[in-house]
Amino acid sequence: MLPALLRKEFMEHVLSMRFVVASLLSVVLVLVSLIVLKGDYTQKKEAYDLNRGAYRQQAERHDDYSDLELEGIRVERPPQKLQVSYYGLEKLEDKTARIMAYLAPTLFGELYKSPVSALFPTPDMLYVVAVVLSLMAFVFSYDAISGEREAETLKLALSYSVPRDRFILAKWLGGYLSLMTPFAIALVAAAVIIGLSENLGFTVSQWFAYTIAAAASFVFIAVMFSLGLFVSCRCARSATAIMVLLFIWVGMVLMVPNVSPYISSQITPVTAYGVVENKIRQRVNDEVRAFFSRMEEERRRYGGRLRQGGQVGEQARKELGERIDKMWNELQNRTNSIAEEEWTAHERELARQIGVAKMISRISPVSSFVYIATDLAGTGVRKQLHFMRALREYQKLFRQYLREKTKSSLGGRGYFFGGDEPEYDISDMPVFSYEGEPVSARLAGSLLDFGMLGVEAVVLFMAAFLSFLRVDIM
Amino acid sequence: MFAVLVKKEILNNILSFRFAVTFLLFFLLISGSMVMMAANHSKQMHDYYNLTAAYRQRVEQMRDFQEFEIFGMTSRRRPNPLSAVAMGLEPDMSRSVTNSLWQDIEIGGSPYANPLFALFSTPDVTYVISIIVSLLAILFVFDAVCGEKEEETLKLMLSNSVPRDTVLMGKCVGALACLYASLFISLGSGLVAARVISSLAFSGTEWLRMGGLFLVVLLYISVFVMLGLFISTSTQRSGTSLMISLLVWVVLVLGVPNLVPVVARQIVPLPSMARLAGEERAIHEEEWGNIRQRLREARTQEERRELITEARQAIERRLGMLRDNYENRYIQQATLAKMISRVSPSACFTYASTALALTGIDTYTDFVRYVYLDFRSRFERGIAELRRDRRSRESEVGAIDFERLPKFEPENDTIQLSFKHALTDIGLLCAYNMLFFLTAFVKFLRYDVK
Repeated sequence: MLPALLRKEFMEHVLSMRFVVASLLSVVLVLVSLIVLKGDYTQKKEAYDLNRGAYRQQAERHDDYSDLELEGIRVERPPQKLQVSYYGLEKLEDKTARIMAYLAPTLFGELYKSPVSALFPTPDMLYVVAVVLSLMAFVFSYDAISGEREAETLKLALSYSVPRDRFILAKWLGGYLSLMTPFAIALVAAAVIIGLSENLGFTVSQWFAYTIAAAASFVFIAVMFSLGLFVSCRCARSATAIMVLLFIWVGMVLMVPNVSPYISSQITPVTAYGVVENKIRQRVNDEVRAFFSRMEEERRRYGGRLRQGGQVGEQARKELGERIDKMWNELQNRTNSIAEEEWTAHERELARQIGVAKMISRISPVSSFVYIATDLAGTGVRKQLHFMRALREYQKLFRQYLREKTKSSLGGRGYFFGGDEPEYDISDMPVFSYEGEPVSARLAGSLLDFGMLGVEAVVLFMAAFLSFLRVDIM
Repeated sequence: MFAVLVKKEILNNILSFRFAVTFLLFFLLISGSMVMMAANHSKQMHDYYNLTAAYRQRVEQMRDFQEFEIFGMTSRRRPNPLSAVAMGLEPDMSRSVTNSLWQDIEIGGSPYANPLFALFSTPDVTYVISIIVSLLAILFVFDAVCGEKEEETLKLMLSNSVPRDTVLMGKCVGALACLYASLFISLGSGLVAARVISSLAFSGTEWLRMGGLFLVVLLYISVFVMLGLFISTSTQRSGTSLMISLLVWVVLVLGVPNLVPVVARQIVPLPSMARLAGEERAIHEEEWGNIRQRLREARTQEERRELITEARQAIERRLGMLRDNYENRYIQQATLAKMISRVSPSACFTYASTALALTGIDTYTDFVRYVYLDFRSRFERGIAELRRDRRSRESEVGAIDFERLPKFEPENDTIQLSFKHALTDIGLLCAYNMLFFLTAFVKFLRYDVK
């Protein structure tokens, strides 16, 4: 009985106009967006490789390690390969940071970018699934029950010994399979294109992330389809069902995820980035002023011995140099802790705001799906925070490197105190290479959203199921 | 006859469930969006004042001028109140800009530290109208003709001496009247609520811009009503009409405007900022290298100052040319993207509304030019002047007069210029209206009502 009903439902959908529209949209949008974003990734990768070389050359052009210490080095986050399907936060241009010895790293932005891209969302697979396919899910399901009731075929079908549970299950499976078949074909085609692409070779973990994100798409559409079926069971007329579903779709897909950051910014405001920067600079300025005052005092203290010259003068110069070098290292430690302290406090506030926004937005299954897909692809919120942590770790290595290089020359200030000026050579300087979080960590972070989607799919299907068991077929 | 038909259509619409849903959505979304974005604008203004005051305090506490020169001057553009209606490129124009004689211009991080702001589109009024209201408009009329045919009331009506053109005009005006009334009520209440809840206030010119925006919104909604009517007169069944309407809407609103900018980036790629910075550095090195020997041979301070000024002017000139070339390429890319995407009325609406709200591409391009060229030169000249003044007082130590620092005030387009920028898109929206209406008209004249 079930196979027959399933075949009937599946064929009915496949032979309808809506299947043509859904197939066209799924296949064309997914493949076109993949091809276009692949080209975009290639450009970004080329720019990244060029930038890395340019930043290295800039660092090599300094005269000595003091200059390197003062000006720092620029580093950049590489483009993520999975952005070809799940663009997420790759649209943010804040991917370059300056690493300095005495301040925590800060990201800076860019104004020379395509302004037209900033005005419109990127049409990646995430967008196709979250916006287009979710709408199609409602279009496929809105008249599943209400339409049959209007056409009076429902009472005909149920006048035979067709169990209602089989009937509704067949409706769900038939409709869902007909909707997802073209999308599955598009996914496989996209995977083939990615596999055949020379510069986009995915690693095993990236293929794993791609597959899990695709699985999340299927679960998400199951949620939307179940919701559509539920509303169809509850509404007597299809016109009413489609209007109710459109109302829900607009709210869930286009509004709830988008308003949640604004609501959370009112509930849990965060100190403005510029205020934190200002505070850090203010405190660092105070420390630097105090350092220079102490340095003057030390020079005055050693002044007499320095003026004596000869061996006494040399000894005094050496001692002064060591003293100032120690004070300079202490200054660096203090300025770094100031920056660390302020940015950590800011990040805590920000994490709280993000948590509230995510909690509000999870009313909509779209948000859960977006978080899963972008986090797995390494283009989500987790990546941003992980990148900042990676920058801070690299900054510690950079500081350590400079200290090692300059310890024989009193922090690179040897020429002031008669010490040796080390030869400037940064060929052995640690290179910043951002790998991203391991996929297991990203998957673990997505479990909550996966769980929510799963529960929603089951609950909504059960709601549709129970509604249908009681529906008046007359 | 026409008035009777319009009244019939309006009553039919108002008494339908569809209108209730549409009105509710209009009201909740448009008013809600206005209130939320107004509150967001108040927060941005609050942050702007705090940042300006904090920066002023820091500058005035600086020990000496050299400290200021090392750390540079950080400036910000005042938040635009019209961004509460059309956010456009406002977040990028709100970034801090730090100028220092010792470093390249640094653009600060986004004023929206929460990355979720970038993950989802800004739900401002233009987003609601561009995406949601256009969908509602097309769903309002998708079965205006084919639905009546299915109910067999169309042939009844036309069996009387009712001209077909009058019937179609009646449907058109009836649908527009209902949608416009909902829009007017929602926008009005949104503006009132926004004024009560936040400090959002518009000047006279800004109200004129809002007026222009409102007209663009009316044009945009009518495009989709005409499109819906055209689809309805092209099909026999409302189910088919619904599918085609959704397909067309997805392509025109969600597909074309979003795909085109990425395609344009492939066709006209921009050179990377690092390459640009490298070329700028090469110019600095070359010019300073050219005068190094002459500086060593210079006998007087005056001579040295002249040489330095000469080098600075040469650098400014060459950097200006470099930036101009880069900017031309960047404008080329933006122009190509705009040109192709104007196939979609949604893109035209976005360009027109952001142009009027001063958050569009032209304002952004002017802002970037101001940051890298105009203000940079003013900053360098201003700092040189301040340094000369301090030297003449034979003292470089002491508080810096914040009022004497160059002011970061990018000029906004006049309202006439904004309308000029929006003219092409407004013209296209009018053209789409006429095109869809005429095709619907021609189709309906031949429509088989049996």
